Amino acid sequence: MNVFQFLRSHKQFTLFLALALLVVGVAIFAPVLAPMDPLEAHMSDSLHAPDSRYLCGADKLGRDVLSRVIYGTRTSLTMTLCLVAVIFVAGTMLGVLAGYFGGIVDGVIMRVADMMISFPGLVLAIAIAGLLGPNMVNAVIAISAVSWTKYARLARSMVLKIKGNLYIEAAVVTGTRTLDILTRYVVPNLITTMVVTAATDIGTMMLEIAGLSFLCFGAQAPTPEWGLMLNEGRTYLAKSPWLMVYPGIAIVIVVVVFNLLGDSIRDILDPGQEA
Amino acid sequence: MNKKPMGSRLAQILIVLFGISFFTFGLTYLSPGDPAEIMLTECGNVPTPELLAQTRAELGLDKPFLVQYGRWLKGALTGDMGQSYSFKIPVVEKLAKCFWPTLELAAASLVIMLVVSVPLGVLSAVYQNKWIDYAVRGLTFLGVSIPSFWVGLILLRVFGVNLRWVSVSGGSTDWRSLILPALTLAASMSAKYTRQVRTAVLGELRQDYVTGARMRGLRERQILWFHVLPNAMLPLVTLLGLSLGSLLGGTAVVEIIYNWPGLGSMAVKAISCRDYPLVQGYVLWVALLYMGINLLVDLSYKRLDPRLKEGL
Amino acid sequence: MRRSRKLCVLLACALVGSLLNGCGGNTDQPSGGELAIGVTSFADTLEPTEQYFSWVVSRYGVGETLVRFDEEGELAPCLAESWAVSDDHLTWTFQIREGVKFSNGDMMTPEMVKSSLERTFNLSPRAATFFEPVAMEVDGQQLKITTSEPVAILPGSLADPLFLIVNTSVDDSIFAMEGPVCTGPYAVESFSPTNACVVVRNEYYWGGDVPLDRVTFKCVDDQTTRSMALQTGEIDIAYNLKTENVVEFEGNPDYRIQKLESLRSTYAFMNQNGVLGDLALRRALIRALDKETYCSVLLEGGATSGKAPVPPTLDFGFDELSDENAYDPEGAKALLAKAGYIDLDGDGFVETPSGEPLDLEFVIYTSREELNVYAQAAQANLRDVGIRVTLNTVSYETLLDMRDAGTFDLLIWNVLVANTGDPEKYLRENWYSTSPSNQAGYNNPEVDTLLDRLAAEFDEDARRTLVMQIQQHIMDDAAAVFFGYETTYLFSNSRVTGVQMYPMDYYWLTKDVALAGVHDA
Repeated sequence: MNVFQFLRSHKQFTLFLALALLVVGVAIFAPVLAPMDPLEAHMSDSLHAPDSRYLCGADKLGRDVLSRVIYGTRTSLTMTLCLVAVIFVAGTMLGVLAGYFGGIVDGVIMRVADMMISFPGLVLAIAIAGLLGPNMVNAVIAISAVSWTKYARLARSMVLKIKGNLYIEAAVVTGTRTLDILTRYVVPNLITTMVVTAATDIGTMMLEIAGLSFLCFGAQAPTPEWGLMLNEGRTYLAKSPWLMVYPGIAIVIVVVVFNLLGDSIRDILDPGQEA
Repeated sequence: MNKKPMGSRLAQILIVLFGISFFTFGLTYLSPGDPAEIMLTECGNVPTPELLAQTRAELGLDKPFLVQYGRWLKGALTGDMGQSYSFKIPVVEKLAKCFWPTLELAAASLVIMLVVSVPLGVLSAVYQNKWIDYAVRGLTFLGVSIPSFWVGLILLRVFGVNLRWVSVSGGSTDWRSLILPALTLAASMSAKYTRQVRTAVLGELRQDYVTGARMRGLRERQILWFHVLPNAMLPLVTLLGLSLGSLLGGTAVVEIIYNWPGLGSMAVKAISCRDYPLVQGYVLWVALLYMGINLLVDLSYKRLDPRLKEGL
Repeated sequence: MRRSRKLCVLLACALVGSLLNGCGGNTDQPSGGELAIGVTSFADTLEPTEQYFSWVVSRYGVGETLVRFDEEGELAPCLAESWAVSDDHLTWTFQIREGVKFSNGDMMTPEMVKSSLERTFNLSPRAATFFEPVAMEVDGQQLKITTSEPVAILPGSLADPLFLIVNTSVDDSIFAMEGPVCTGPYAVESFSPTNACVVVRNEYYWGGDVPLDRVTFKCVDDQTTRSMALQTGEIDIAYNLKTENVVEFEGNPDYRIQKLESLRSTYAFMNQNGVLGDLALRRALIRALDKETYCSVLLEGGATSGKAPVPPTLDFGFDELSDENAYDPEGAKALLAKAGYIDLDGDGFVETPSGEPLDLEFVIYTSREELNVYAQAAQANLRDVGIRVTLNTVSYETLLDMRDAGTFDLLIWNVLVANTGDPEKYLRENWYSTSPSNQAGYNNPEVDTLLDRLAAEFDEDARRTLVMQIQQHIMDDAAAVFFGYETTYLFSNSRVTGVQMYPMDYYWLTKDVALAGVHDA
């Protein structure tokens, strides 16, 4: 089945994929799309209301809100994708190791996972920010530290199921190397579920990152980042609601798109599973 | 099932608690800033070296890491987690004080969430692919995609200022100031749970026993209420436990926006003031809560699901 | 007195709505009633010797000092009726007011005043930074304080709430959580650090009738929420609101907005132990900043733009000081180029003369919104002339650590320049070469000499000249970026009368604060 046929037979997926690509496109072509430099301050236009020049108004320093929202797509997408990649890889790997080897390896990994899951995520994130200084990388590290456990648990439970299969036992008996067993038989059998989980997680993770930035423990000024912009706009809620409205709408749209895409990926790859 | 797994569960919990306390202690130990100096300089004074040394000795900060940890652990085991630097009261007392508002908020938001999500989820499953299903699904999609801090601020603006229906200054814990934070928390949770309920009900509706029941001539309503729902609610118990765990830890964002005097906003304050004893106490308390609830959930699960009780 | 002239003028009260005392005509001193005041949580305890918590005790109308500042920033009698200094400038004599009672009914004697001051010196490490008495003696109704060096600012120092008079004959361990026993119009009923402090009428108050039965100070830390609480009527007075809140109340007769150019200065230390050791770079940096726009546009008049250490509110020759580093972006670029700061890699930011990338770390803290505005605006302006600045937002505690460790290039600072009514202490703390607070490496022997002379100078005019000379040196050395001087606002419900802003921000709830007769019927 070629790509075209596949897309035609999954209209929903195609639509959401197109929307997601559109968002990615906005991120990539931000310099072309943004009417102004997101960092350039026109201080005399401080808190300028939306008009034909500033379509979404200007912020406290007179920076164009639309341009900042557009550039914010870059920040949010990069951070979120990094985050999801990190927890996907780390979580799956640790889960596979724990599930396949069992015993002490399993005990240690799963106890650490228990620890992390019962550790208040935000506190850890803030503590890490305090330790390393608040910035985007540390925000990603902090959220990863508490989010990988979900993947590890899922991967582990699947490995336990897969391990019971005859073909694994056969492989072990015929002396196949462990690494080969893992990469040839175990991982391919669980990767679909893991990808589906990751795909449906993108939206949630984006919200988490925006939340940390909102609390000033993520992206730092003058980075155009939606959570941070909302926090900056909060002070001027009564007077300049546009500072609050547009970044909020941007978050909601992008998160909705990625949630829809994630769900349609799940419907295609793994119809039985629901988050 | 015999007693042994229960014992090992408890042992595991102890190990995890120990690990967490060690980890937190290490983290705060490594954090920049000298607690003695912080205590003395909170408002911009430069303390003398003698005073610093004296304060350090008082706080036991001149001892090696493991000795400090040991001292703290010994205290913690006897229920003494030290004195909060910034609030000047015992950590345990502070935690207890902040726990009630958090509990109140958690309970209120869970109730709202259940009231909203169970009926919506069931409706949406029963009328799968009808307009009501689409409407509910659309709503839940929006619900899980809207950041709670945005919802919070908008609610605060509309109901607090424009309409003046509810209190905005917070700080108190009466039922009126409870409404908005509870709604905000419930908003995103309801969306999540509605989806869960829908999925679970759909899953049960596909089971053979439902077909069997239909063939036996039972009415749809009867099947739904007496067979499908009880079974569908089972997986929700676990989820509810997880939610309760994280709610009881305090939800910093919402608590901060609404100035709710709970554990979450306290924790953020404690961290930014580098009130280490309080941070340590808080983390340990939340971990304990979380694992306790998990244990309870597992136990109730066994009680609720006869298949598990029989040991399969 | 010279320095108050300007203050009088600046004490402009913008009366947005005024309450007409119409029908019912109750013009008597209103009495009774309760008030709620929205404040930011500041004190963890009410023990006056701890940190700056005494400020709260004074603001809440509980504690009083021997000497106080009046509406114009001048010293005025309070618990002391008068004071004088001996001819050798070493002994000050205070005439203690008679008939003053503490809120528990005990009589305040000169001995108790003495023991209260001794308690402060024993418990507070801050006390000795004002002055160190070698002797305190009671002589009839007089208290004599002797120092080893002349201390010109001693009466002003005693007006700092740190030296408020407490009753030492009671168990003082309860002060922290139940409030100290003092002589103010109100006494603490209950206190919870992050929640509220409730004060009730002090029945033994010496200064006349106390109008209100009970006043609640409610901690509402979030600025937006505090403003909303005032709008919904949950609180009657809101402290620490900013210029951006003006729009929410302007034109509404139910609220009264007061405005005062304060003695608060915001500036950034420039660390001369790092790359900013280069005078040319420091000068270029200051010239790149459009401070006038920050204050008038970005802060919407929430501050007046700065150039010198002491704000124009105090008359220490602000207008006579010459500022060679006024806003001039082109001049800044030229200075940079001349000193060898050139953009080598074409990224829009200059490199140092030795070819290293230049990236200045600007440390700010979170609790004051305007600091963030200044810092971000400076970052944007400096980007225009090619200087890269990275902001580092930390908690106030971390900021202190970083200042003491000297790990910063620029570090924001916001301070009351004259908490003794005189800038001497402030100038010495920050720019004396060996001062422990001076961690930015500023060292000018001439400034040190002038500061030493200032300490022993009792003549007003000579002090003014000295302070001006010191300021000019600091400005010429481009020692710090003086961003602006804060304008403070006080928003209150029109039903509250007698609310007054003081240049020394020590007095919030006074005996004059009352409720107008019930008028909404």
